[in-house]
Amino acid sequence: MEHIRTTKVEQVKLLDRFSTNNKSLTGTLYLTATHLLFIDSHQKETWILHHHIASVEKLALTTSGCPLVIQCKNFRIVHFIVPRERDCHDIYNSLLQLSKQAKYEDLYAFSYNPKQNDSERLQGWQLIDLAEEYKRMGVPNSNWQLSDANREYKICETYPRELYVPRIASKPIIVGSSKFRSKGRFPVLSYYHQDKEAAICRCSQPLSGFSARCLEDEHLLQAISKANPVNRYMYVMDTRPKHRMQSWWDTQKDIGRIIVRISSKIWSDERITESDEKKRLNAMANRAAGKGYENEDNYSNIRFQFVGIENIHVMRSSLQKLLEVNGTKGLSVNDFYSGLESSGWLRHIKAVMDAAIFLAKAIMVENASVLVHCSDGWDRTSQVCSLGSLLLDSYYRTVKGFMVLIEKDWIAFGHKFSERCGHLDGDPKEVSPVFTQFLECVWHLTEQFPQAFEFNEAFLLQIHEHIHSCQFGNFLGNCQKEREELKKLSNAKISKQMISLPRSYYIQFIRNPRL
Amino acid sequence: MEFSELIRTGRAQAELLRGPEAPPLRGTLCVTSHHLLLSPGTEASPDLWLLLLRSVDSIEKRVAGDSGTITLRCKDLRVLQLDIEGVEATLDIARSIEGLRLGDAWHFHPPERYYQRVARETNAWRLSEVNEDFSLCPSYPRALIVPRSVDDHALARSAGFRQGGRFPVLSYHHAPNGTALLRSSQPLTGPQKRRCAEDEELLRAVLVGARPGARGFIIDTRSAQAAKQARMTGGGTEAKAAYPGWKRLHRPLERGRPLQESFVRLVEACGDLEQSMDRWLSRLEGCRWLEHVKEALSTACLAAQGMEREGACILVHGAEGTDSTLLVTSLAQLILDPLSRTMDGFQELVEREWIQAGHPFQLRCAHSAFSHARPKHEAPTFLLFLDCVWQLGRQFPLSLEFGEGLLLALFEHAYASPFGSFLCNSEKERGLCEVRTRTHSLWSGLNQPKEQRKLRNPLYALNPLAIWPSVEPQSLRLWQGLFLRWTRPPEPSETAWEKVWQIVTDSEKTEGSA
Repeated sequence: MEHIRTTKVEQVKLLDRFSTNNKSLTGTLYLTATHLLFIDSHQKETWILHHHIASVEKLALTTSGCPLVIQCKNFRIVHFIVPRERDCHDIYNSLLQLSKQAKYEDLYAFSYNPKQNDSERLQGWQLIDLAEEYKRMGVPNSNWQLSDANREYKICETYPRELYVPRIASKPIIVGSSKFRSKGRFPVLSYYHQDKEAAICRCSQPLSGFSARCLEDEHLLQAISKANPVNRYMYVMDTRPKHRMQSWWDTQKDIGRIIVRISSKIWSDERITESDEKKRLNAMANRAAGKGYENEDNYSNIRFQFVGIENIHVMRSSLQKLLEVNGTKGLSVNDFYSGLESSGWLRHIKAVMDAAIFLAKAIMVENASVLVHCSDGWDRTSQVCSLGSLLLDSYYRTVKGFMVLIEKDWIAFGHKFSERCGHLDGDPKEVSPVFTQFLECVWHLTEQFPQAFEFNEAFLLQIHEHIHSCQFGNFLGNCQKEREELKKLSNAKISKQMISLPRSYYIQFIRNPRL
Repeated sequence: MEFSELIRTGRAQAELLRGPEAPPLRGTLCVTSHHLLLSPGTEASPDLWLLLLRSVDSIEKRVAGDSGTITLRCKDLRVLQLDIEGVEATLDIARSIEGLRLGDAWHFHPPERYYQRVARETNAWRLSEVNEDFSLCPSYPRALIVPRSVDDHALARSAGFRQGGRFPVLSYHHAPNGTALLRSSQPLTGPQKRRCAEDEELLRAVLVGARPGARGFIIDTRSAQAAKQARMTGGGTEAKAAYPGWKRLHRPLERGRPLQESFVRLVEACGDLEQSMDRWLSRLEGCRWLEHVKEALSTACLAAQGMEREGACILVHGAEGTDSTLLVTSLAQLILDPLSRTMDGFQELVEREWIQAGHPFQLRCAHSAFSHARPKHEAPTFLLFLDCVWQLGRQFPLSLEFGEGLLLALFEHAYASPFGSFLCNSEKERGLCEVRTRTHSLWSGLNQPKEQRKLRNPLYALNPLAIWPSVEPQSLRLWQGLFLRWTRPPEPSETAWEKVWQIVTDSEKTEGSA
């Protein structure tokens, strides 16, 4: 509360965003500990959560007052005119402080009270049980087992405690592989397709600068491949664009070269020279472009696939450009489409979709297991794994299943929600709309297959609100370990409940359950 | 000439490919006078596959070895491929289709609804039969609604002053405030800046009839410069001094060949399934189709706004008054008039504002987007209208009583139809061809009960207000149901539509029994 100097300002104008001739509503602006509230003369209320505020801007003073423009993370833009500059300044300063909290304990979730008692609250947290979900997929089974290697977060801090790995992969192999992978994120099971006995696995990039081969990592990949009794080969999908691979190559920090090395060493024990590496890397790049590779017999067990999804920084600036174009009034059709094109947003959406389709086809058509990775394995990898599973498994297209999918591939596997959504005052370069893109991809699917989903657009929007709102505990923190510490620290005060809307609001009433 | 003479080969064995999603059909191919038939062998489904020959836009044949391939590109934008056994058979069938698809029309029928409703609403207007024998204006129907105080003699003088004799007539009477929407062709002012007292009197009478002191706007669908240039060829636009109370606005709309080219380029872009997102977006932008949609809708909004909000009368014209003029007047009515948004009202609107008003369908819709023939008079003005209506329906999903199905049907029938409604270029021609006695009306075809579920909007609820669409490019969308109709599987949206119908009918049943 120490940030709030003015709690109430009268005679404030709210510009009507639909009107073309700058019409406005007059009313009173209230500043509370959690919300900015505007009540107009018709008693209509406009609530803005402090955590939703992405930026506040005070424009130059005009004759009617001091304009205050607030841009929200849910893409809403509100334009107030405050009569006195001093009031405007006070509100401006308060909002700057309130919208960027420094500590987790100051976030809304720790004070939000939906009038639940403790047992109800605990029930909320037990609503989704991932062990139950793996059981539904059919693991553990004769080929896959639960590993206790990460029970104490000793191997990988950003992974959950429970991880599923091939039965033949022993603990030393897992430990060895984790040392070879960035942030210790070694290959683990994300989704198991029961009918095809094929798996989606995920990991991070192999560590660059390693000159020696990593036998354990090679073994683990082999184990994943062998865990699929139907198909002899498996795919390794690198979700990063190949031009970046090329530039990494040039700076000698190329992970592609490591991949070439692993791949050649795993399956044939020959020594390879630098020029050999370069040749193979180019060949891989070419094959990704569909030009083929003459020596494919050597790689019959592992197939590399590149899909060009750009990194978080490209996505962040793409969204910025998109919002700029979308927010401009009076554009010509040409300007709109060239703006849309140069923002690149739809190109990125298509890249994510293409990757997910490739993944789903590899499993459905070829019966092959797929290992997906990007750099750290928590952004693009989460997008591709979760969207691919959604294409394959109709359970994830139900309300409950979709929540499970988010809990599994995003929350548990350590998508850094707090950094990506900018929950706390932190590095703005870590903010990126990776999860927003995932939701948009799902929305495109609901448009193309209107009957295949149990939920509708309102459900997706509601989730998008709450990844930023910090109202519930689900999306707080950057990984499970951090979340557990938060719960201890907060005396377990966070409540968890993803959807606060009545069910009828977000249910797709024309769903065909057989799809 | 007997059509049967054009048939060279009766039948052949063939395989038909209908696009990436549909399974191929095998069977015996037959050519009849009006149709291409494929009857599958005994083992397959007994359904006969049928194609109206007049719907073929272009035909391409290729032979290799002892078989041949015919690619048919249809006016409804479908692309079909026929693999035929035997070189001779392929060439003969191709020749037969080529000869027959251009054959004369055969089935026709009378339009029926005239100006009943408009005449009922107001006393300021009368029904004139001055054009009884089409002598004043060959492209107008026999009866027209004109200001009560203007006699037939004055109408004749005004007709002489307007291109093609298209003098100002009532298009829509906005009952809530008594304003009127009129349409005409350009005045023949010419380089000498001629005037016509009767024409001026006619427009003055419109204002007086609406309300004392009423104002009017003349919306010219050409740019100010184009309107000025038209004077050199005898046309022009209304001089300010000659028409007190009327103010001229220029809103240029694309027409003719550029519009046709835009359509062709859009269809080309939609047919290319292997392109990057950037290429797709720049092609979508480059074809400028959505820009035309935006311009048409915003001009219609301007006309509607003038009537509803300013209480002004509106006269719309371009040059001939048979294309972009009709686009604007018909869209403005949809925005303002709840009745025109019903199933019956919309059909009446199309009949009155397009067919009867003399939109030259025969010339404009001779070829669609695939034709290699050099375009002469082709222009997808009517399709642009349908696209604009679709955008309205998307922005106001409950306000139109008809669905996308009706718009698709109208598009198909405008380009190729077994019904007579869209035949010929004007009422006069339809009379000469005895369309009404010799063919069937499209409306009676569409209004059969079994068609209703496809054409009607199950969610419709009467909306008594004007519907103001957003014309920002952010709000406009590509009409996928039409332009991507044959390249993506139709089942998901069709079954969803069917399901919505089922839910609506079920809930009506339970409400009825409760």
